[in-house]
Amino acid sequence: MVFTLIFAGGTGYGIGPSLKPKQFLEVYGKPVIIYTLEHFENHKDVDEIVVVCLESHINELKRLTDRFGITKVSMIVPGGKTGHDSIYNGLKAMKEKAQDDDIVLIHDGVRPLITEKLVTDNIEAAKKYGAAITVEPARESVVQSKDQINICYVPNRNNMYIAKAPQSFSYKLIYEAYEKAAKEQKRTVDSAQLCSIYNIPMYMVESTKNNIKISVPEDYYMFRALYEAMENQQIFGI
Amino acid sequence: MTTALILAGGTGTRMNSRVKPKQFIEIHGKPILIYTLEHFEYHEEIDDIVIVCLEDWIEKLKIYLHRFGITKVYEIVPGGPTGHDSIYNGLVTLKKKANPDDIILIHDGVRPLITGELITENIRTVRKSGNAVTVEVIRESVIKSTDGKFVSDVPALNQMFVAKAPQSFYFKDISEVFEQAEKDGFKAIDSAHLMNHYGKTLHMVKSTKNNIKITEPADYYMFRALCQAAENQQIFGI
Repeated sequence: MVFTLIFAGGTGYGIGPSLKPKQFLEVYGKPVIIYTLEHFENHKDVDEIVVVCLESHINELKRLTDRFGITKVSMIVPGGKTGHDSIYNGLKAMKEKAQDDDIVLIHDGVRPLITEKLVTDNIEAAKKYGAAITVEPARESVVQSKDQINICYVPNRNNMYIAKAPQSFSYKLIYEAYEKAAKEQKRTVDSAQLCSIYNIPMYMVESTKNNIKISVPEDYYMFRALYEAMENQQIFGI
Repeated sequence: MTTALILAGGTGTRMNSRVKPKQFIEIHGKPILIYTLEHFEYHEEIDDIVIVCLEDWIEKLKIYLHRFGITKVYEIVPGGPTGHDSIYNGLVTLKKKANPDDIILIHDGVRPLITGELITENIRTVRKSGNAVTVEVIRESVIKSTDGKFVSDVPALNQMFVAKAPQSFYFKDISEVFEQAEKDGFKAIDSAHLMNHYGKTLHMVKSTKNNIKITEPADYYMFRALCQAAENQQIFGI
């Protein structure tokens, strides 16, 4: 089985006067989370979707999945305090259903600009290597600073990447990593960082371009602009 | 004296724009390069501007400067095969008139989304600490891979930044490292990379948001959307 675990737990400092959590912001009448879910709904190799959602918005999400014809969502689980806790909640909730070697694609609800091919590449890589991280080559130099004032190191840009999502794993591997972290009271920014702490080898899958995470108001405008440009491409074939 | 050295030598091979290099692509009737130049034109602490430009476009650029009222440009120099060479060409030209303790702000012609405050902060930091590299906090994990296939390291996120522009230096310091690189046959990705290569300490300035570099078609759409959002804000005060 292939599961997708969608993280839509961000309380968001909501965006705009409505203070809607960002995953529920609408673009042309459709919430961002639905744009994201559609990629998995329409992918033939994805069997089930588990969504980790802000508890206060679970009912709204149910209505939306109904209205937009998203049928693969088998569970909606309340989010935790941080992204890390939310993913762990999701993995725990899946325990009864998931077999050790099932695949879990962990994805952000606010990353709607992915493609069918990226999902396929993730599934294949996770099956083969156990852990697959979507990455984008760094387009600008990455620099390191330990004191937040001076730069101490500028690594060769050719070796540097930015982690995106999906981040995909065999169920047993990722569940055990989160369980271990819970015992040791460790929290990480994403699953890539968690795997790195426990020395789990991760294969890199090259991201499609513009795999942006909508987290500040400008990102919303960028998403809308990119979405429009893509729709126009259908006609003009730019 | 404080001089802005603007790099506009790129050919735009990634932009799908067969007719125009990316810095000359127009948004609402004004070339991107002009949007960038205006920030320096209107900043009272900038005395003059040197532009490194694609040779074939120098005449056209002169017409644009006149049409859009950019008056501080002291010289236009032809670009080299790489960004490194272009900066070097600019510095060689500056040598004729620059004093060792003049401040040089090196900026990309395709980074129009900066502010007067960012320029001020660059100048202030050079005076205080000797140089200034504009950086942005990273919101996604940074990954290092030495083989391009597997993740070799996930450095602590709170230590990692993305280098942006302007990157600002005393003339004597930046020309010294570029002279040295010329002797050593070393080519750097940007000035921060070069200074780090020669063991110089660099100081960070926090970038304004959305300091994007327009190098791919999607960037163009994002820039246009951000321009529009900023214009709308004047009215709606979002």
